[in-house]
Amino acid sequence: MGQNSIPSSSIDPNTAAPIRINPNGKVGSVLVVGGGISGMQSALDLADQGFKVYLVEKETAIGGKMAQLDKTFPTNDCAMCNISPKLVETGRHPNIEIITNGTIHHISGQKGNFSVQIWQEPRYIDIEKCVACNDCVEVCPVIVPDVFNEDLIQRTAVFKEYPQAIPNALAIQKAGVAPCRDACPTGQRAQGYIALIREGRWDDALRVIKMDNPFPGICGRICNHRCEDACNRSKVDEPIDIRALKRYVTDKVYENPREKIEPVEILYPDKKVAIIGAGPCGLTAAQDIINDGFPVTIFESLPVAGGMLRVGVPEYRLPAEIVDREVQDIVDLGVDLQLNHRVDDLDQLFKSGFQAILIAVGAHEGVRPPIPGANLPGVLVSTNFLRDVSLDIFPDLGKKVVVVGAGDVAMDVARTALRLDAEVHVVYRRRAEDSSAGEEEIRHAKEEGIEFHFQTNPTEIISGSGDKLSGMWCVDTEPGTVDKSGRPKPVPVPESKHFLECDTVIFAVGQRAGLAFIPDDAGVGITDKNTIAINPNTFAATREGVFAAGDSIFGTAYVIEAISSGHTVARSIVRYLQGKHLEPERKPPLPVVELSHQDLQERIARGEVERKPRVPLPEIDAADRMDNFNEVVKGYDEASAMEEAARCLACGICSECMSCVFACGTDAIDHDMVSTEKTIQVGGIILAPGYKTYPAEKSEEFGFGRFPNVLTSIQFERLLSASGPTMGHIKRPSDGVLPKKIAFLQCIGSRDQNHSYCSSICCMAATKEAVIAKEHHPELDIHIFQMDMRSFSKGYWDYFKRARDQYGVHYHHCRISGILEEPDSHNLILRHPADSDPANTIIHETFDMVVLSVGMEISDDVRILGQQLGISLLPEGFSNCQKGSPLETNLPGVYAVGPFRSPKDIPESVIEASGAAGVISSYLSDVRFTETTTREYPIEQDISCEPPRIGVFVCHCGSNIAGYIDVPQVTEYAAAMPFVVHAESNLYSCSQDSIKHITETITEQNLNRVVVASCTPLTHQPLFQDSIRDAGLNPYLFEMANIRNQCSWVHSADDQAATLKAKELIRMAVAKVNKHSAQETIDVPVQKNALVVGGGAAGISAALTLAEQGFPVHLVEKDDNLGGQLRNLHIPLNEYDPQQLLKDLRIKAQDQKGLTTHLNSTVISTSGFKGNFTSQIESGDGGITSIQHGVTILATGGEEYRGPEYGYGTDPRILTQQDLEERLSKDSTLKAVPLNGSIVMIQCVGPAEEYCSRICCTNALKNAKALKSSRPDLQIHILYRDIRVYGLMEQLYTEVRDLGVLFFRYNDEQKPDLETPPGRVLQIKSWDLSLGKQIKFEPDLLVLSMPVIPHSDMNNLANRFKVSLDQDGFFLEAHVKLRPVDFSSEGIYMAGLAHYPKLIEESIIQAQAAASRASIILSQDTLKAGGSVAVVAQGECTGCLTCVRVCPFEVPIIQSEVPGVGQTLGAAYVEPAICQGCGICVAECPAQAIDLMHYTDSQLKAKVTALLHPEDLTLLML
Amino acid sequence: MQWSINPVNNAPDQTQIVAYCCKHCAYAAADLAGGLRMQYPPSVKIIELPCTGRMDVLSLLEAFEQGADGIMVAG
Repeated sequence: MGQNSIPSSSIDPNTAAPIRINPNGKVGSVLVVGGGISGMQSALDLADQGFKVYLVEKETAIGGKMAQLDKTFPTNDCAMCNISPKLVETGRHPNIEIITNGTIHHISGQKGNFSVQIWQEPRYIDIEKCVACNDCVEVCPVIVPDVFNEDLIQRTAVFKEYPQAIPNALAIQKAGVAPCRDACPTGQRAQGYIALIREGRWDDALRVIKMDNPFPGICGRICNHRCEDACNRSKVDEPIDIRALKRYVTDKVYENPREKIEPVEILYPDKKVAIIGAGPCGLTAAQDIINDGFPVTIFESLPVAGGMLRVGVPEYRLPAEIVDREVQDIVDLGVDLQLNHRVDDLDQLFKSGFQAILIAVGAHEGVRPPIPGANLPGVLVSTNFLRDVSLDIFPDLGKKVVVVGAGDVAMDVARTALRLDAEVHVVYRRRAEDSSAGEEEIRHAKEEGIEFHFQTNPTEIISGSGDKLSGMWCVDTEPGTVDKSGRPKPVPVPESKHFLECDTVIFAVGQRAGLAFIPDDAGVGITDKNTIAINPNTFAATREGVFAAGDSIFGTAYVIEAISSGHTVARSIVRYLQGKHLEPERKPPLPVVELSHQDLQERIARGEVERKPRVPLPEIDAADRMDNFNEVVKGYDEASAMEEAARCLACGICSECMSCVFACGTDAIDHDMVSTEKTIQVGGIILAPGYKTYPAEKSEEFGFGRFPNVLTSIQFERLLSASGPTMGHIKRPSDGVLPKKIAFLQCIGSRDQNHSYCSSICCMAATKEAVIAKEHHPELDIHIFQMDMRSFSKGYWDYFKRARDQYGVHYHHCRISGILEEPDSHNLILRHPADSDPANTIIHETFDMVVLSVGMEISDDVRILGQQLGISLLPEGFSNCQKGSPLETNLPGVYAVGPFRSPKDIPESVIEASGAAGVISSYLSDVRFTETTTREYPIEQDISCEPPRIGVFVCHCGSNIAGYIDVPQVTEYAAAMPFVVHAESNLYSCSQDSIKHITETITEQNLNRVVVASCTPLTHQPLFQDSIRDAGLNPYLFEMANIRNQCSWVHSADDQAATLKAKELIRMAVAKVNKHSAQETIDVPVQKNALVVGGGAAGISAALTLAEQGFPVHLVEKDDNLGGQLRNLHIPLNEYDPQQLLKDLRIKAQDQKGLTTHLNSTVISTSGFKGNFTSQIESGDGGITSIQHGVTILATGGEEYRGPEYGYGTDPRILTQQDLEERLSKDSTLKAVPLNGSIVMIQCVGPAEEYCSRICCTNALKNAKALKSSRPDLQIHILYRDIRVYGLMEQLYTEVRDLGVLFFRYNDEQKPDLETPPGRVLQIKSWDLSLGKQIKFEPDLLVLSMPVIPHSDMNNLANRFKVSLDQDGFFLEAHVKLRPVDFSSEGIYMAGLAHYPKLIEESIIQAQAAASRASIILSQDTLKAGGSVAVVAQGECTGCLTCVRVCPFEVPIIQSEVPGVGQTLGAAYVEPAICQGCGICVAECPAQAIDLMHYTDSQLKAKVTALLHPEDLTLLML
Repeated sequence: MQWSINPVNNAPDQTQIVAYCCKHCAYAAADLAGGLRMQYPPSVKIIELPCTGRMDVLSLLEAFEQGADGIMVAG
């Protein structure tokens, strides 16, 4: 199986959950992979049935694709309004553990007891601490495309996918380490400070730099910038000028008066550290060590600090004041800097109390090559020369100076000598390109008039008069073989010796550490290169307590390396002083982000990156700089810096700039989080990984990515959404203008060469988007180009007709092959046949916007998951499920649901999700409640006799509330209200410590009612209610005032008004909570039996799924045997033989323990409510059995329509599809039909003209295929409106066409016509829309695709069970999208054809889903009743039946034996166990005899009075 | 217990609109409007209902009687 398996010994025992394994080996927990709508449904069903659920989601939040939708068809409901309560429920369920950023690596074990390894990527934010205040978002400088909004806008690197996301916490997106940071020895977060510079946040940018580098002004000028060499931007044009940006921001901040730096607190005064050398390395180490609380003394032999920076780099490149300032910043921390203090004896230092010594003396000794005359008085070395000039000691150089060497130091020497008025020549033995000096340095030197002699090697220096020289002998060289340095070795050219006159020679050919002060017996080892021997990981020298770093160990290096080694050695020294092991622990490194050329080309194509060279830096002209030491290169100005910063590609995404860490008020951000792995034990696994949309840029002919006004359907969905990038306004991306004419192109990534399937949802999704767009702007002209209108589910055909006829959406049966763009207007041109023209002339039509209806695909991630787990996948990537157990994969105990099985829409995904939960509980039922936890609360206090003692907690919500509302004033105001005995404010009321504090305060202050003034009760009320329950208060003694979402956020422009309104809202809440009373819940026992009505495939499957869980089931069938419509199916649609299935089901039903089958029986009456029904079953012989049951499943089936259309019933040659199937089952070659005979099939007959019966196309194709297989000679012609096969059944359509079946499309206006005189040849005429011609058929058989219709007694049945029917007579579900098997009356569920026509497999799945929903009730011993429900004051009831009539849930009944008003018998009663608490009966009751608990008349009135008459508040509350 | 009203907090000319909102849709929409920082007049005071079906005419009239300038029922 998986390749990434780890040995079990590496599992952290702290993270592994304690597992109680049942003696039979089963585990009572389930893994659900994927947090979309199906994953959530499975998780909720299972958790509600007593299983622990691990819900693993690969993104940072659950919600999946549905969360992105604006509306859902066919009801046009707001998608978020539907899904949001599910999100909250899933997030809060005590037995669902959500694992975000999670992936599954390995599964072992078997059905009932799997061991699963889960890998969780870090989100860098602690979910427990994050309160989602978004303060981090405000400061994050990194901008990336917003994936949730389909890249239409941008978001920050710290993000929440969408406002309602669960878990309600932010996350940080990291791609890895940006190459600039990786290349820098100190790990400078260049991407971070560049992003901050782009935003003009200079102080923040400098803070980021200083985190890793105490010398930003210095490095901003002279760093060798490896970051720029690594910059990915160079693959686009030129690297970012990172060094110049660093300099700019430093200079900008340094312009301000220097802020005094406070000394750090010394925590360990006895553990003193001595540092020898005040160069960049020593100073960096000093800073780090003192910041950890250890005292530091630096000994420096020179009169100035800064080392080579101060005395080795000339002023015109690095002004001394910059060095001095940055040194001072470190000294001010409290470092004892001793200048002019040469150290000669390490022992003495130890004796004087230093515990550790760092040698960081640099490399200040210049090197003289061993040539004759090298020690003459007129010969200088670079280090001494530059140092003297820095200290204002100017040597007499004479007129002409030769500098030997061509590195950076040689350039410094030459240009300094030039500024001292000398004529300067540079002599270098190698070629110009071999020089190690920066290009810019050589250019500057040449500009200033310095003459270069390359390939020239000095051989002897000749003295002249006095201290001066007369010149030097040189030879020319030529390049030889490559030496150790990787450059050609200079080889002397024979007879090339020549003399170069000069007064002074300065050697700049290298330098080394001056280690003379370390005697041989000091115990410190020295290498043969005259550097100090150290451990390269810790920089510890060979003597304990001695460390060395910087140039004294590396030889010469760049300043950034000195800084880096300073940091490293400081960490070692601190560890040494703390007595820890010196080697640091290794952290797993993040990968370095390398953007490929292809990535970058794509980003350029998408318009995210624009080609643009770096912004140049100004310089002083050569003429103006040769006589002074003024800085040559100038810095950026503000605009240039911001422009240059904007070129950054933000490779790492999060740059770890730490802005969020500083902004976070709850300490929730942890950039050091690492991936974790844990192993869980589960009894079953549900895979619901969902789909991805087809990447439309792959179909280049449609120009997606190139043409701005070509969008995908999901992008258009985001445009329609009020919370989307345009706040619900439809705008063209090219110009932001409302389009007038929009085209939708269907089947982009479906039904093509690469996609053998139909994506099932796109026709309806496009229709919905068109309808919603028309609702926004009725004048829009919308055209949908499609091959077939696949509106095959409940209500869809009707919806389509509304779109076409009422909204005026235009439909074209045409597949568009490509899009052209008018370059100036960005309008789009489509080529298609003119509809009105029978000759189908091709026309060109221009549109303002084109929407590509992108199909579903299985992502590579999911394919890999499948492969790793050993799940058998179809070539298209969909799970290859078992035919007999439709949801089960090839691995027993592992189930696939949702689009992972085949493309499908929301209700079917939800049905499958519940179905898989049902199947799992059928074998895990005996380990229910073994892994779940129940929250325990203290016993509730009775406060009914106490006077109110109200506590008010006002939340700052960071700055979300306190930024606009005067919280102290509001708190003070609340404290003065009547009965308020405690008022306080909290930074974050929902943080864990605040929650605990509220509980404690209730106890301390003896509060009996609580108001929290913070955010919205929809997400936070349950949390606060828990906190008051923990203090022994009833949860109803609570009220929230929403002063954030409905006050501070929406009145942010007017602080005073917001503050006033906050006071009013709190006043209203206080007035209401004052009238709250404890609401009791009671336990109602559950009858753990089920009644299933209907013995077809659905009924048997539902009954089995429940009976296997040990719940006794009564299965009632009106016929004399089981099977229903399954009895009429003979030809397999896939490999599974329907008659074999029927046999299997019958045997299982017969053998199943606890399943009682009542044949020839009907249910004649039923009463009661969920958990407690009583029904009477009448058997064929008239006997009546009364049963009690907790749930009812109605699976009463449907039947094939047999109407008179097309002469049905008048001629034996006219059959239905079922007739044909029956005949084929007995006579597979249809002997009666002659050789080369023909058959015509007509689709959409009778009622199917009004609603799509979903399965007729599939049945016709299935029968056509069977016929063609047995009789290839037959001609088969199918007359159709649209071929509505869906999902993977598209393959059947392709197969049948390949077999030679011909298809002729008609429409409602020109239906086929049967013109057959009795007894003569059958004659059918039909107008074919593709050919634009009338066609005549004379078939031997006419087969009519008759739809499935509901049984004729559905009305009676519906009345008996008090359930509703839809307009076509099928059962009406509680919610067409999210509760597809529930009736609105609780405890009753539906499955099979009585719900809607469907295939056998779909009926079985729906039955399993109904069983799952029913098990939620049956698995409980008792149901909770009460709370916020309607209560009838029966003594005031007139028995008028109003409540009975208005209740949408059919809850109120008249209790005829109970006296109402005036002792008249018959008063209404609302059963609290099933009351939904909507309050409709309360509003409608003419006698005002009903009140809704927690929303009573007096409570609502109290709010209004408190708002409008604050002066009456005391009176109101008494 | 002393409850005194600061006159600023009960300015007689302040418009008061009482908005009765179903918690499942309109109240949630108002929350979202907040998330999107859409601005509207502070005179609107939202009272959460379990369903707008709970709202009866008498309560509406009573709010007017108490001095509400406008009433909105959204659900």
